[in-house]
Amino acid sequence: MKTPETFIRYSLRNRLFVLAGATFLLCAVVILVFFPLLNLTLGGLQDRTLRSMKDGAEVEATTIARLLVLEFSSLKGLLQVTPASDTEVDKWIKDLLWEKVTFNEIIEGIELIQGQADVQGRHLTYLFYRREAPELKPMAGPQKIMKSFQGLELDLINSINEQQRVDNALQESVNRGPKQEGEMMLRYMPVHVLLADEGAVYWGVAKIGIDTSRMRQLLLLQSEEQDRIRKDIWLELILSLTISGVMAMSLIYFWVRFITEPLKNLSLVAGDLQSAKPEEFDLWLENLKRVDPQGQAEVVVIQQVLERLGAAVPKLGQRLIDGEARACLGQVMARGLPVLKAWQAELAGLEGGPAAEIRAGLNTVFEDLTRLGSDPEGEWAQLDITPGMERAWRLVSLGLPAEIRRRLELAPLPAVWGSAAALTLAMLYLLNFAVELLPPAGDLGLKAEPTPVGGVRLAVWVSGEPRSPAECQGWLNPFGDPGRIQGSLGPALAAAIAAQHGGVLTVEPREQGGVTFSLTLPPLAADQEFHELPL
Amino acid sequence: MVTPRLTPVTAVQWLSRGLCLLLLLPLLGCGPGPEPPPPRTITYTFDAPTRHLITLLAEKSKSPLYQNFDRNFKGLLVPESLLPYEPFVLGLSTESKIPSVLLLDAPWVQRYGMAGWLYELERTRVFDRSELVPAVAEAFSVSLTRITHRRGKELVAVPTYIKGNILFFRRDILQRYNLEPPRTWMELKAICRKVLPQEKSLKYGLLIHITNALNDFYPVFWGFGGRVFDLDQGQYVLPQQPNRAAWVAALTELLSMEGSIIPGPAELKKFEASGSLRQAFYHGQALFMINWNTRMKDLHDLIAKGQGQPPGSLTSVSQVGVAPIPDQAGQPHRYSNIGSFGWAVNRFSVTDPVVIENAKSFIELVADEQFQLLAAETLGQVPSLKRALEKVTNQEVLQVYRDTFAQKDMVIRPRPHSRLINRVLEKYLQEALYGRLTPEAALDEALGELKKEQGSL
Repeated sequence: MKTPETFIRYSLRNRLFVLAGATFLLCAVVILVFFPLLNLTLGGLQDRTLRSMKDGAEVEATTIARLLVLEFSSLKGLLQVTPASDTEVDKWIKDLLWEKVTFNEIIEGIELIQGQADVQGRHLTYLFYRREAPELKPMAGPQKIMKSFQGLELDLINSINEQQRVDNALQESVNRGPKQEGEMMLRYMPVHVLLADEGAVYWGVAKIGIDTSRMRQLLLLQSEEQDRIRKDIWLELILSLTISGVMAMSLIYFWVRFITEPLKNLSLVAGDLQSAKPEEFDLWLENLKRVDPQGQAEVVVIQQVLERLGAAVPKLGQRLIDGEARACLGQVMARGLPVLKAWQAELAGLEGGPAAEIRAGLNTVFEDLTRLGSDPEGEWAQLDITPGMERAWRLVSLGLPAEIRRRLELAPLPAVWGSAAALTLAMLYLLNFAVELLPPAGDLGLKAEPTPVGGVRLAVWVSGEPRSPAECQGWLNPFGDPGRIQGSLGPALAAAIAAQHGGVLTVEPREQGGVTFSLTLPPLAADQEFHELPL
Repeated sequence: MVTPRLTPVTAVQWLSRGLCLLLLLPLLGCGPGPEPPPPRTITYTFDAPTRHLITLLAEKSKSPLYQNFDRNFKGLLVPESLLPYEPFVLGLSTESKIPSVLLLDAPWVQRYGMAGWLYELERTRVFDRSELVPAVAEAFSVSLTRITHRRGKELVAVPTYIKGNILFFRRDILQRYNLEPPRTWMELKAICRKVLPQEKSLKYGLLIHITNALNDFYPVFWGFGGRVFDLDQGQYVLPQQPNRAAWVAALTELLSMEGSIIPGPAELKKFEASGSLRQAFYHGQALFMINWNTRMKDLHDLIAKGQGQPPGSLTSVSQVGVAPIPDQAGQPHRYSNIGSFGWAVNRFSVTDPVVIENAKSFIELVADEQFQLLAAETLGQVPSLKRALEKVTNQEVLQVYRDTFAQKDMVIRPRPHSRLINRVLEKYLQEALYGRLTPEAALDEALGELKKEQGSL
């Protein structure tokens, strides 16, 4: 999270949004998983319903067939019929079939098949089918024929004739699928004629066709109903998920926004510190105090800690500046002390003009030092920075080896607004830092000139080994790497003073080696021009 | 102050609790489950003697099983008028589930069993065949090879008593002449020839039924090695030569005794009335009588209220002896025509393990030891359970069992289940007994008539 873009992407608020959205999507997926399960359940329900309906229809068919067989069991005339006969009994049986088939909608047809077969394997059969199927011609009426049976049906009839009972396994195989006579469910039942003298005498097989169209209609209805239920449930599921999603995300949005607001504000305020100028520090601190934690303990803790740091930082900075100034003066004095001693020794043996020069030099040094320490608070006023620059130049160049080439170029400068002591210190910091970079027979220069807009530009250059822009930038930001502080704080403090005065300090490597420090101060503002220049 | 953080274990515990709560949440919407279906009751064919014994047991034993009998089992009353029509054939042949348990006469057990309508009881652990007297268990077993594809016979009905026709004799008279009960017809005739001339009160040597004479004739016929039906194969075998010969020989044997030992054709009419045989035997008119074993109880009752009876009438049950019906000399077995009923389970009603459990409970109740002991003491029935026989105190019952059904050469066999065969054979047996046809002619006529009806066999 080093850039604003990544901050936005990885902010707590966005993370909470993403998390809430992901949680909702997960829940939605889990809910949607129920739909295939629902399909399976409905499929299972449909299967069970179909099975129970088929079972019910088969039980009904069996019951109807059983009731018919009960009626046939009283037909004693069945025991008298022969293939060749055309008696009243035959007519009676055929009429009975006609009545049963035409008076019962559910009975599609009946065959009464005598158990004994002739030598050709044909069975005496009374039959009548209603035949409502459009592809079949209507049957003229009940018939008595000699009929042959083939395949599974023959096996079933033989089995019934032999065992005098139905065989479910065989009946199942014969009962399925469309029949020649139409679509119907067939039931095969043994027919016993009940006689008081002889008991239940086996006669043959009753083949009864039961109408299954009602069951097919019910199955179709059931299937349509289940499709409708499935569609409705799917629609309701999606609708409820959409509504709940919109509601949930709306609520979550406002909730997340509300609870992350203090942290976001605190983060923005804290982030301002990165680009805050020293003069904006009080404003930053004020902004920090104005952050409303809304009772969030974490925000309160961070805010308090930042406020304590904010209160401590100016004091530490001032101490740092003070310490750096003293250190800088100490370095200057350390370099100048041999010269001063030499002047003192030389002065003891001289009189007259030369002595006066030396005394004048000593006085200038003392005057410069006094001036630097006379205005520690740095009172701000309209001022000419040339004297300060000259003082700084004199102090820094004091004690420099003779082989160092010094060059001072001061053009007449316009007045600027600021603290003379602070600006002199800035010059001193820069020049002292430049001296630290100075090679044994190097060049050191200071140039001051007005800028086209009426400000002042100062340039301190020093020769030496080539420097990289990053190294130069590092001098201005000695705290850039939290792990260590690079070199002197002089350039950084000079930059801070320049910034305090509305100016800017830049550092650039020189092509021939060394670096150039450029400090630019803005021209006087209209309301600053009426102040007098300090004496 | 540094406070301890939430430990992972605690976090897991909280998560577990939360998950359990989430899982329990759906239960908030759960109502009570659907009511369980009512327990399946089974239907059985209502039978008056069974009902009578159940009522007695409910009163005597105070057993909740008998007291709640009607709550657990639904009786299906079969009108007497319907029984000749064999009404259950229609239901069973069309795989009806009702009734679940049927009380069936032994021939019906054979027919229904061979048709595959009855549930095998031993293999399915409904009833242990070894608890029954072997002879009667055999009579209620059929071959289900065609249905189950297993060899051997399966017990398909549980008889609650043993009933069969046996030979009653005057034990006091035989003891007086130091004679043993006859083993063969020759011995019987010899005894009659010796005793009858000396015992003037005895009018007849042997009494047999003239109505339903076929029931008495079948054990005689079987004792000559004949068969009408081969029960193992399920085939009609009377027309085969050995069986024809046995039929003729058995009938000839009986006819040879007519007039001298058995009442002659002119007297047979006297015995057409119901109860006429036992009355004649009770009055001391006969040395031997073929009748159902339950007539021992009837004789006991007659003797008990026998005041004012003619001289020579029985005065004590001890005067009555029983033995198996004689056979032809050289035949290994003597036979009894079984008249027992047995409880069978409708194969098509067994659609659920509950049904078979209920059927098992029902059979255990109506065929258990208490039930049979009560029947033995009150009705004079011979128990079919071995352990019940060990506890019977009724001496007449024990005597019947010991002297007849427990005999090693005794075979209890059901008559043919075809009522057509029985009707036709009965008709021509009567013709022969009344002297209107010779045995050979009677058989030929019967076979001829049956051949016409062959499709119904």
